[in-house]
Amino acid sequence: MSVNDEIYNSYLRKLGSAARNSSLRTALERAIESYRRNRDEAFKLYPYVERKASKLRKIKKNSLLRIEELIKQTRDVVEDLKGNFYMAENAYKALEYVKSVVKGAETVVKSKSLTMEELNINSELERIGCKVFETDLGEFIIQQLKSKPMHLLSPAIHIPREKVAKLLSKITGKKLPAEIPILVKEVRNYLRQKFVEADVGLTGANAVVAETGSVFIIENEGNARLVSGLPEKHIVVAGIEKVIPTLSDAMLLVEVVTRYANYKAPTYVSIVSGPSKTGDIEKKIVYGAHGPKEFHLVLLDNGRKEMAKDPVYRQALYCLRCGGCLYECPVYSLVSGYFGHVYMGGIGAILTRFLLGGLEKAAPIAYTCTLCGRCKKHCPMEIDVPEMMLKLREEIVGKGMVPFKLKENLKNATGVNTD
Amino acid sequence: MVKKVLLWQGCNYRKNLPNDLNNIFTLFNKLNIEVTTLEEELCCGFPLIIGGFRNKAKKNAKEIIETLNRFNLVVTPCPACQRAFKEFYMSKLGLKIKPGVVHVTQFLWGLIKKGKIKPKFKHLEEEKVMYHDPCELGRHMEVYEEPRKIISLIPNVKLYKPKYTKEKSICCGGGGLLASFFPTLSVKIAARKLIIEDEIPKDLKLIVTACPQCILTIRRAVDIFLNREMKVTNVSGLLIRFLT
Repeated sequence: MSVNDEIYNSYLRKLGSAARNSSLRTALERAIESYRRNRDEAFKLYPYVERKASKLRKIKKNSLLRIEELIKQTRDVVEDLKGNFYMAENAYKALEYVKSVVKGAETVVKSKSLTMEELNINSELERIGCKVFETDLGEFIIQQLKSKPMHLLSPAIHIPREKVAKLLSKITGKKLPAEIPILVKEVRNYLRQKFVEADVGLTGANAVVAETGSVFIIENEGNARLVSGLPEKHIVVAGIEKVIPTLSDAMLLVEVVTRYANYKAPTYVSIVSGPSKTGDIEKKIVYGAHGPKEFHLVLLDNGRKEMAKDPVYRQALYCLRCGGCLYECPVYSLVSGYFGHVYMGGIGAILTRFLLGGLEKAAPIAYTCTLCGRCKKHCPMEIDVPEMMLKLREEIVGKGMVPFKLKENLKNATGVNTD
Repeated sequence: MVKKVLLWQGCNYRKNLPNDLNNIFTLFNKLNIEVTTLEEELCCGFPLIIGGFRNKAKKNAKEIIETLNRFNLVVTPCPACQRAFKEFYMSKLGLKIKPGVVHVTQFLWGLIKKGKIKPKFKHLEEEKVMYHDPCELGRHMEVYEEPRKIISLIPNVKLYKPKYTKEKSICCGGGGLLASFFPTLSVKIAARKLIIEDEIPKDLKLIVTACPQCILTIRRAVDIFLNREMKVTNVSGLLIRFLT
């Protein structure tokens, strides 16, 4: 057996066992049902959201076409605001930058960010002696269980409440019942102190505004507010595709992503433009008032510019990470995030190829997609996943990484020599 | 001028579903529809193109086009072949094909609409039927109405409408070569679709669809996971049961 087939086989084993897991099935069906119900309600209330989505699509597309110019504008404005700006070519450089800012800090709090997974940031910061706390409830559970996020927005989608109760009982030393409100309250109490203690707060961003250097962070729990507001330093790590021209573009994005993520309105949108400041004494501006004294914006390339150059793959950068496609995917509905590497689902295959994992990790995901195109019909950005998948599969074939069995089956079925 | 019509059968029907393919010939005989078939058919290249082997699809495609260009119209029961001819030959291989290419259901509905065939139906007992939209025919080529219109002509056939149909319909799991890469998962997707998404009612005993890959996948799911009496057929199969 080739190395290739070992990779495929270990992936298929995991996928197979996920498909047989009945508690995963229950959790998923509940989540899918509730997602669709909420989304349909939100769409009924705001029927114009689809129109807004297509307007946003144009903005995202045009932004990527002049990304260099927008990055430069962002840098100038952020620096003018007395913030720090760093353009990281790759994950390693981004990580080194973050480490240099974090250095000496004891406690780091973090709000959910898939982009930061590209940096493998938690383990890297722990290695230099920091304690890193995920503060999004789902991410916190995943981190404590040393498990893997299974959805973009609901990372602990696969973990039933009983398991959470057991985990939290261990952490708090109390015997906790499997009642969700009690469990939520316990996590709140536990993390409250970490927010106060933390020297550094790490967040991602849903949008970065070139015109004003503002970072938009959308959330419901309120943790990102605390992460970005309490510690002395706030570091934002965001992919370059998050940069859009204006504040009103970002407001449009807030509306669209919220509804497609099945919420009527986001509980919190934090808009951060540089470090906190005051001019209340003699109109002299002092940086570092109640909020962070230092603000760092790290824009991450890490393969994105290469993607942006390709007219087919470019679409994947329009993705708003609303997670809607996953609930509509026939494969994800059965196996959750096992259909993926860190980035999940069909679009996850493309993101894996360019951003995290490379062709080797992307290949098994690519051949798990049924190319049904249902995700495209539900995507606010109308991202054509099947079209991208065909291109990705050609790359896989070109590199001789196609699964052996598939190649043989194709040869037999088509009568064409696939060697 | 007599229109020369080719019935392109497709590998999947010829190799894996000869009986279901025969439904089409039986139907055409009963309705006096004249078509030509080829003694030998090469693979249209669809599985190669979607598998990432686009370059391997060109040789057959060139030969096929030469043959197809001798006809005025190509009719096929396989949406994958249809999409290869209609879309992929141009977009993926840069090859042009002269005749129009339609699905059997489009062809039949065209003849019915123009009054060229007048199928007469028996009044059998009322039967509930679900139409499954194949992704290739539906979402990818936007053929939604013709199969439904044909089915609705049959007296006493009641169409069960699942929650998600047409452009929102749910894939059977047999597409994209998943049936070859991970057959078990592909069949489980079909079972989940029928039970959870379609919520097929207890008195539904017949699923009609318009794609050989869907027929194969849904049949396997019924055999392995459904544990109930359920037939899966194509539109022609349904029609011949009710024709006088």
